Amino acid sequence: METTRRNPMTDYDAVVIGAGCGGLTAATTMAQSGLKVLLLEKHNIPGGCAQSFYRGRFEFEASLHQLSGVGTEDNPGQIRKLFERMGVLDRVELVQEDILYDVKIDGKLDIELPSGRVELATALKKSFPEEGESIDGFFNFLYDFVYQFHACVYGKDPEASPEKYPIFFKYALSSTQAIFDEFLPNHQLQVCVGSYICYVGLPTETLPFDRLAVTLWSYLEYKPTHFVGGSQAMSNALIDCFVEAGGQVKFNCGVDKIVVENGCVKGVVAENGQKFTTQYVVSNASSIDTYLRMIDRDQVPQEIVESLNSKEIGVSAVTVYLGLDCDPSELGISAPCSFLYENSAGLNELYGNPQKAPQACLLTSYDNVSSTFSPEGACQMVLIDLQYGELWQSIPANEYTDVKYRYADQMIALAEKFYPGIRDRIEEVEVSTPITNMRYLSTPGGSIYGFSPYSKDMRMFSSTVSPIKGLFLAGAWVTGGGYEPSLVSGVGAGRAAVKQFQKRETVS
Amino acid sequence: MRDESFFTQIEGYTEVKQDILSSRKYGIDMSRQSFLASELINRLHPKKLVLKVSQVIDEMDSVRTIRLVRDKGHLPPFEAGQYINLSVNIDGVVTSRPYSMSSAPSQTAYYDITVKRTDGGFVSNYLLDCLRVGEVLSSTAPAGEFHYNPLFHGDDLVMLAGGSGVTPMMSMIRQFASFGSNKNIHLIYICRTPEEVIFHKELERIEREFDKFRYTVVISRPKENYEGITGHITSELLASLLQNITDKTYYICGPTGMCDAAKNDLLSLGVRPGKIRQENFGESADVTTKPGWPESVKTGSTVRVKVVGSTTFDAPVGEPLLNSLDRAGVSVPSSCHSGECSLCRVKLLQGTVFHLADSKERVSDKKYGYIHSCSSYPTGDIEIEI
Ligand SMILES: Cc1cc2nc3c(=O)[nH]c(=O)nc-3n(C[C@H](O)[C@H](O)[C@H](O)COP(=O)(O)OP(=O)(O)OC[C@H]3O[C@@H](n4cnc5c(N)ncnc54)[C@H](O)[C@@H]3O)c2cc1C
Ligand code: FES
Repeated sequence: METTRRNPMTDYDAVVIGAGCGGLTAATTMAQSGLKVLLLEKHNIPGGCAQSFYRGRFEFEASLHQLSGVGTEDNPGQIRKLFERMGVLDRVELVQEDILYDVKIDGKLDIELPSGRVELATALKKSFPEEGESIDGFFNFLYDFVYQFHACVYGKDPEASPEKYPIFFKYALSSTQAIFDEFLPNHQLQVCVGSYICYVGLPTETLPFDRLAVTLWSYLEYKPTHFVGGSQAMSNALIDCFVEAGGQVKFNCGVDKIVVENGCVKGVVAENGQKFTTQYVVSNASSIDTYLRMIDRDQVPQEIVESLNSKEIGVSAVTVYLGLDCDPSELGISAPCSFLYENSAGLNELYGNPQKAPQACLLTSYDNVSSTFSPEGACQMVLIDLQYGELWQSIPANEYTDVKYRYADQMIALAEKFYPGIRDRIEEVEVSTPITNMRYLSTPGGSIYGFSPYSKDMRMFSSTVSPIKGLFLAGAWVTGGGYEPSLVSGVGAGRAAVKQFQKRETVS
Repeated sequence: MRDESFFTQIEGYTEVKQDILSSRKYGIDMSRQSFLASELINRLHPKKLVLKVSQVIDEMDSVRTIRLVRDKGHLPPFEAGQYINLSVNIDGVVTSRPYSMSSAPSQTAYYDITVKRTDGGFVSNYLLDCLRVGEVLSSTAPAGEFHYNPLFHGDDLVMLAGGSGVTPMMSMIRQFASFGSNKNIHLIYICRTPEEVIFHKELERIEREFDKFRYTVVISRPKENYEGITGHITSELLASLLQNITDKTYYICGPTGMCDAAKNDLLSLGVRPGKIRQENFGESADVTTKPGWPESVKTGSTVRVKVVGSTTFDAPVGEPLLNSLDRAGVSVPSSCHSGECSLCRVKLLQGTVFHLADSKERVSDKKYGYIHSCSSYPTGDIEIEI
């Protein structure tokens, strides 16, 4: 595609800060609309969370367990459509899973949950024959809820009213636990349908139900998906699409400053002092850094500062990356994802604490998604639980390594309760903590999902439009965490920027 | 956004509204959170470390230990066995090489690196000949995967070191010996002559004082009347020195040839690959003699390297692309210089390069032509993007 630079007064029509999911789709959207775009990434590789790294003979997937919102050719979800439009679909090989995940509660439950509403309900009824009615009731509620939520919040049906959408008006602000108590009182069933709270960022008492509902619905309808070559394949494909559309990317080029004058974006200054003038900036860095570090304080409206200060930095994670010298089947692992719980543990134990032994975790066995993840006769596996950065930031530097290894050791011990023999097959292991995420993502607290998604922080209550002219935000800090929201937010930010750009160009 | 009258109809809105108001009133200072995060990362993993030479210790004829301190702030912690990538400016050429710390991590006041003269060595010889106390250098923060891992390395450790490859082992030995830990360590150290054995006195002392430490020297080019063990590291030698061979964790560090041979010996003795940790030291032998190198491309000739948007220069055949880029003044970040960390990743737009077999490019990087410049050797004119 031919790009024409339409504003001769600036170096670039738009500059994107950060090549995470949100930054990549924002940059590509703008470049494909004909803008001259510069993408600046602090690290030497695109992707942010969406990347891979080598240890020994293993290329480890850094973050993606399951991508939501892809769907099939016949039933495409928003991510497939987005990939198709951008040209990503031609560049990657998708792998789809028919299983959501396994749930194992030590000594109590072992169940495989298929994707698809009917399939899942059937499987649950088989294991919980007495609960047939409440299972049906829950799924009916879930689907009605998601439909009505979409209509009221995203679709913005102008005729939305409590009569037309009673479920929305009654339950939109309910906590996940409140919904469970009302519709699915059985604890084990709650663990079965609720384990995705791991992907959304709050325990059930404080998590608004819409977060879990939309996530579960998206995986049920569109199936969990992955890429051959891991999420790095997606990030590299997006860069390729961006460059093909005339975009320019600079790695190892962190941005220190967004220059704002009289409420309007004027350019950015990189760590190395290089300046780039532009009237449009999309920032994929955290909104905290964007507003409170990169922009002169007198240019940031008090309203924004107050709003940021009112939030909570979201959760990070402890991840144990294991390279094993055997096939997963040798350890009896057949599911791509398994949520593992100690006998007495519930859903909320997915939120861990460095000072306590882990009680629950997610085990992802990538080679059960696609055998391309590891060399023959070997496999990679990841154990993860969620943890707040705060708890790790207070550990003294000289104790950090010990705490990290002790915790990882306990996670391996937990996994071995269900799959004995893992430790003996370890060939490579790497542990990442909230501190590691802080370093590689440059997010406060090492947050992987942006802010905690409390009801008060729901998007319907706060505008995502920046009061600074020419500034747009993309990524987990604006829409909430996860690949799907982040990828979509970038498209939104990119389109909004293009629209303003074109408007300004026609006026002048 | 919808207007407020819409929201007020949602059940629970009043409470949420109250929440919004009070959290805004009693919020926390987020700019401080952002500051704390970057401060912590700067302390643990600064992008660049400025180090001052506080002491130069002569270990022997061609070996010196360089003691590095930081004027401002603490040195970042490291794990015994890790390295820093040290940058030097030699007659206007800014280039860098990795050096393992030989001091223990518990020694937080300084990093020691121990440097041995290498034939034709560029940086090492500069460090030996030109570096003076008080001089200021820069480096990356400590990095590397060659270190003890409590998750699966166990308590029985065998270290196979060749020449200067003893430096990361020294850090581990100093750490474990000084802590009176429960680890059994056996260091098997191969050198050409007894005069080349670095840290010999200290290692002998540790062996005397620490009953869980064993120390064996192997001399490959002995004088006639040398009485100790001679020859190379072979599976026979290992079998004679070690019991329960398959239950131990092995660390191998030294010249690439020695490392590969030792690894093969261990594999042939039935040791699982995961139990063998390897770090290659020193430039690999003439790359043009490696299998797969195109015969028509000869050392002594040059190739043309074009860096898009920057410069074009001639580079000698047989030199890693990264070094040629340094020489031409094109800065590319780097750390491991052995194809593992991916920091030196650049995109090959045109032409061909020879990859070292152990360079680890990601599957999707390969697809789009990204290469690790530290482990790639141009085999003709090339065009790259940084
Ligand atoms: C271990 C782990 C597992 C996960 N599992 C899943 C999963 O299974 N499914 C799912 O949907 N989600 C998952 N997530 C969450 C998901 O990956 C993230 O929420 C999402 O990728 C965030 O995207 P983002 O656009 O906000 O960018 P980020 O990934 O945060 O990237 C931001 C980018 O901006 C760069 N940057 C920051 N500051 C600057 C600056 N000043 N100048 C230049 N560049 C800068 C950073 O280097 C980074 O590359 C997981 C995350 C982790 C860490
Ligand atoms: S410097 Fe580490 S891969 Fe090249």
